[in-house]
Amino acid sequence: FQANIASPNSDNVNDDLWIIVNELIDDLTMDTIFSCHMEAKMGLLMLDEELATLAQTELSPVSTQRQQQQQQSAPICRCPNCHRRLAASRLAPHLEKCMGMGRLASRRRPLQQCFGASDAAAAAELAAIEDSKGPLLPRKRRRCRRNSSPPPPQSSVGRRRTAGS
Amino acid sequence: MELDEKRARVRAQVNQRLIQSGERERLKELLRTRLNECGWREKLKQHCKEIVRQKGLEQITVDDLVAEITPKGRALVPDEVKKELLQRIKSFLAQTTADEK
Repeated sequence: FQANIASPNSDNVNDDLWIIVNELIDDLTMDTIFSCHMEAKMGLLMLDEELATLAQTELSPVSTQRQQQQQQSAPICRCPNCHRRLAASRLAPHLEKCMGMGRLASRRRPLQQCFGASDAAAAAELAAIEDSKGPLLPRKRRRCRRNSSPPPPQSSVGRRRTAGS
Repeated sequence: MELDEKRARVRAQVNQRLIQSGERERLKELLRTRLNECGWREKLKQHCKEIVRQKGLEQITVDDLVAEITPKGRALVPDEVKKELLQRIKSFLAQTTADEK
């Protein structure tokens, strides 16, 4: 080995050592290539550019103007119950449902009890679903039990038949 | 041809010494540190993005990137860094031969 490594300044040895230096550089280059290839296939390679473009779009003068216009036309306030942001004109109807008060909210109470929606935000969501798609549960007739009269007899439909009957 | 074979053998011996002593890992770590300082990886990544845009995300292969990026990787390394590595290898070899004597 010592005989093969001639003087450190010989051109041949320098060339060989340069090859070793380039191999070290190539190792790190391959690491970068593999990670970039993986990021490209996972859709992450251009992610930082896309996020930067998105951030610029949100902060652009046009979008801030639009936000200001929206704010000026309808003041936004926050529901004290569910902390959702609403237009001021919608706050009262929302509170009616959200806090379980009012004429319409009382009809939905059985629905909330059935689905266990004690959470005000979930109850408001259920109310919104029912508004768009109609009642989720069939509406039952109200039984007025002011008098202490016995309940009406049950119908035979759906009653279990015992053996021998 | 004979000289080339001899040089290849010498290179293999040098590499073996570097690997066995752990010096090759230390050199690689030094190179990684120096290249991080000069932003080499970010520049190389930008080139990778260009190649991916040209070839297309679905069609790009590792071989495409290797063919295009490897020469760029060598060219982007500052000369001072390459010289520092070369000097480190020479010092290591000199130290090794001195120890053997």
